[in-house]
Amino acid sequence: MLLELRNVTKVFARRGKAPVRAVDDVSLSIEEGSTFGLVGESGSGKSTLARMIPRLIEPTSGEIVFEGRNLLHLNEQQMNAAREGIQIVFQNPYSSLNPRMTVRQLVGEPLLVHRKAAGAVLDRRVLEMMELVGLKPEYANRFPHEFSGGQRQRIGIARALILHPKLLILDEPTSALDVSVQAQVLNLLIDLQQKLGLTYLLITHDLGVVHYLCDRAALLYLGTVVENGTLNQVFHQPQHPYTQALLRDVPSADPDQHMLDNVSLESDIFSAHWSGKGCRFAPRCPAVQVGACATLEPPLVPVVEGHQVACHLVHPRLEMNG
Amino acid sequence: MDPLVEIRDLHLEMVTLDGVAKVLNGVNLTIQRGDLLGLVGETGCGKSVTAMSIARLVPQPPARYPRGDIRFLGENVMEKSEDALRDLRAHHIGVVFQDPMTGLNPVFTVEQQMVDAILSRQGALDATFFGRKWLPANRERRRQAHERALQLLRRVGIAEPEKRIHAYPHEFSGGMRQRVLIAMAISGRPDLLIADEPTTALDVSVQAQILRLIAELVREINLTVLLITHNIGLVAQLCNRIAVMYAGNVVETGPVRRILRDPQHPYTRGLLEAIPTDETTRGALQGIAGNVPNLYHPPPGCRFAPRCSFARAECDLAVPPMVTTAPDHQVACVLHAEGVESA
Amino acid sequence: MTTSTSSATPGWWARWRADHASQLHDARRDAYRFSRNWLSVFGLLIVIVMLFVALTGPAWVPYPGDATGDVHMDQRLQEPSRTHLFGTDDAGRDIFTRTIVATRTSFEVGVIILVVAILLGVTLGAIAGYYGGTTNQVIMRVTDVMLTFPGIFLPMALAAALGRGMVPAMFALSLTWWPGYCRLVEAQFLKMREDDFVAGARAIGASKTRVIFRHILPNTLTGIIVKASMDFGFAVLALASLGFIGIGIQPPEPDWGSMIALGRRFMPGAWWISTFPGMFMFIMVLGFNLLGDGLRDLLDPNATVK
Repeated sequence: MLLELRNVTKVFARRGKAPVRAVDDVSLSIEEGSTFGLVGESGSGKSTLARMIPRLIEPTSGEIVFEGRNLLHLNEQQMNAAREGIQIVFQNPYSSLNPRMTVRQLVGEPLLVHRKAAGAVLDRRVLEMMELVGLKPEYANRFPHEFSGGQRQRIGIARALILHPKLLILDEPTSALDVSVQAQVLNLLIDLQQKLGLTYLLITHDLGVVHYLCDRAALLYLGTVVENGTLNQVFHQPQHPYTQALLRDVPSADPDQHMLDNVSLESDIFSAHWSGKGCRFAPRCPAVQVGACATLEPPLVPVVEGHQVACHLVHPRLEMNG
Repeated sequence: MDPLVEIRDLHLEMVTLDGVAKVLNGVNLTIQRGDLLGLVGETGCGKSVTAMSIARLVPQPPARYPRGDIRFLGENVMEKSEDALRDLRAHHIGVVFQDPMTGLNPVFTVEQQMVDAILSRQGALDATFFGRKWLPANRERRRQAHERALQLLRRVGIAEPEKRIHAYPHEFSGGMRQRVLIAMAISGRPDLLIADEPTTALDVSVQAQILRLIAELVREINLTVLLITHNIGLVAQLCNRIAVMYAGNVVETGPVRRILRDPQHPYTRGLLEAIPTDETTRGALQGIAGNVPNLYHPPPGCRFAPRCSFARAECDLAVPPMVTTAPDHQVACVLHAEGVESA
Repeated sequence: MTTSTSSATPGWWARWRADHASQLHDARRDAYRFSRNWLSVFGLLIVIVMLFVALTGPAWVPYPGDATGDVHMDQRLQEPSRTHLFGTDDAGRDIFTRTIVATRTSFEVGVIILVVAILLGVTLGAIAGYYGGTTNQVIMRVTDVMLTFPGIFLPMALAAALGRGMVPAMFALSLTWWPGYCRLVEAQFLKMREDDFVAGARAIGASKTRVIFRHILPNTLTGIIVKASMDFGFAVLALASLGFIGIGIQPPEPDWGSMIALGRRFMPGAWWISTFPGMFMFIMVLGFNLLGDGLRDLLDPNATVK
């Protein structure tokens, strides 16, 4: 396993109010060379989790094991060096690039920071990388605001890949892009993965993108993993009610699907508060039952090999059944 | 029957520091009563600006309309007086904007905003927040507006409106704020509801709920809807007609099922092929090569020609006119003008 | 390749222009926008003229000795004339000469005050803004205390402690000015610390120092430039105020403030002694204010909306 998250938790303290458990006891593993999709909507904690892996946000507890080393045991210098192997591409192509740096400076900076190259050698590697992601060499002296969203995302990808990291975290890489541009960027990602032997952790709420890129997927709801399995398992045999609802409620481009006749969930995540006890999805769950759902948090347990679900209805607690 | 909205050859230019952007290049669009029209296109195609022009909500300057007109219920919107425009916006058109965060004023309660919106539409400005609320006649008006607001909130699916109405916008979730905005938009019993990307910022299930709400409203109060979006899935599920825009032109329009099954315009085809579904095999997604044209120096002729794999010499000569290839199915492409079957 | 013996590296200018095409384009655009506001242009002209006077003045003033200690008691209190454009003061010194030389002094001192204040204030503000927590509290509370002193009080107290003279005055005024920059930069750092591009810099493994100086700080420059251009006028004014009450630049070195103070006794009779230095001061402050306003309209998108 290239990356293993073990019981990772992040608690944000708030003044005068109860603390927020943005990420709560998340465990998952990512194989080298694969693409792992982390699916979540608002409040799921997916972006927090993404930023915890390179320790841009410090976890409250748990372990983050990359290539066998627990990253949380590293001091600041060691961590900075370790970041050579884990890179991240951010969601918003409009705010994630320093507006006062040229493309050359942006893409070349990782090489400078890690003292891998300078001067003419750096320039050459920058241009090579730019070509690899589909940016013309004359763009090197321009500033981010002169580019479209798709091109800016390419700049971000070039910057993230110039050190040849093992793991690339992509935080909603195409959400801010038009669909035709998104297709280009997704294909670029597939291409780069083959050429450079990358492992991807893709964070998104867009199931279509997950289906297109990922080998495995995990669904995050209010900070916990509710389902985790191969693409086939999650998309074609979803076990958790949230997964099922999500798959049903995505508006399909096929007009014969008549989705609106069967809208699955009635409330939203804010009005259906989680009381802190029991299953987090219970207040909105169409299949909720009296008993365990309200009192006990369902553990993440395998259904079949490689497919885990956290739901009492799939794994009934024996005590509650008569 | 006369169409509700008829836009003919609309040209719009924006004067900026960098020059004159030719944003709309001869838009032709018709909306019939009872239509649920999805106006789709990507960033910069001009869909928002087209819709806002119907209510003349685009500030002039920096915008100007060198050619074309917009008719609402047969009357030319461009030539309406200020009073007529106010009447149009108060009683005939309701607009729901994209961002539920900023669509509501954060320092006023929902009750205050809704009551004011209702009273403004009635023309009772004196009874609004900054008017003489205390006069007995105005108090009565406000009371009635309050009742109407509760009724509307109930209609858009907000539970216990009597309690919630006195909250501030930030105490509502995104989905609920959007419902409030829809309530305010339909408070004047408009003929047309313009919804500009109403669900972009919302979770998938909430989005589905809002779409269903709009569908119900269409049936109940005979609402005509113009939905602006870049999400073709929304249009497929909600709308009965679709119009596709590219760089300031409508390139294809017709019934949703027909267009999605058998798109004729190369851009529409490219757009549909770029959407990943659970049937797309890995690597099979097709983007559209190239970039959107520079609106300051747009290509002469068809603006999609530089990116089109079927482009011919004549494409650069003039913007292709809309041609009817089937009942209610129109395409602006030279390939179909001659009845040529494109590969 | 063609060789040209006239230039060392043929085409380097063209290459530089190509490499910096974006910046040149933006600069041209900014210059155009700036020029639309005639007040800002007027301010810029004033500043350029003043700068020219400051740089070259002492070379062409008619009576350079009058600025370094000469007195001509036989020529006291003469009205403005062709030989003495601004008249003479009660020691017979040519006011025109002294006013011009004071321009240079004002510029010099102003620049030094601001440079020191900016270096100190920006560094402290960056540290306070980036690290937050206790560090921030300590620095910002000290800043708050410094800001409670009314403008003249601190320099006066320091002058009492350190003695009169230009150096104590510069020291005192720098101390008065750094808190403003500290606050400005701290606020911007607090905000930008959470921005995505900062996260991006940390994500590639940049050290904290690099993030502060290479990433966040350049983005605060526009705010600092705008503030500095407006502050310059006030710094000069403050210096003159000190001169007015006798601290700061000491005779016989000319200083607008002390010249104005001197001329008070002779008002309204020998009006020229106070008036001309006063006018120069007014014009200088006005020029920098207008320039600062224009720069702010240009550089700070959040400030005004036309």
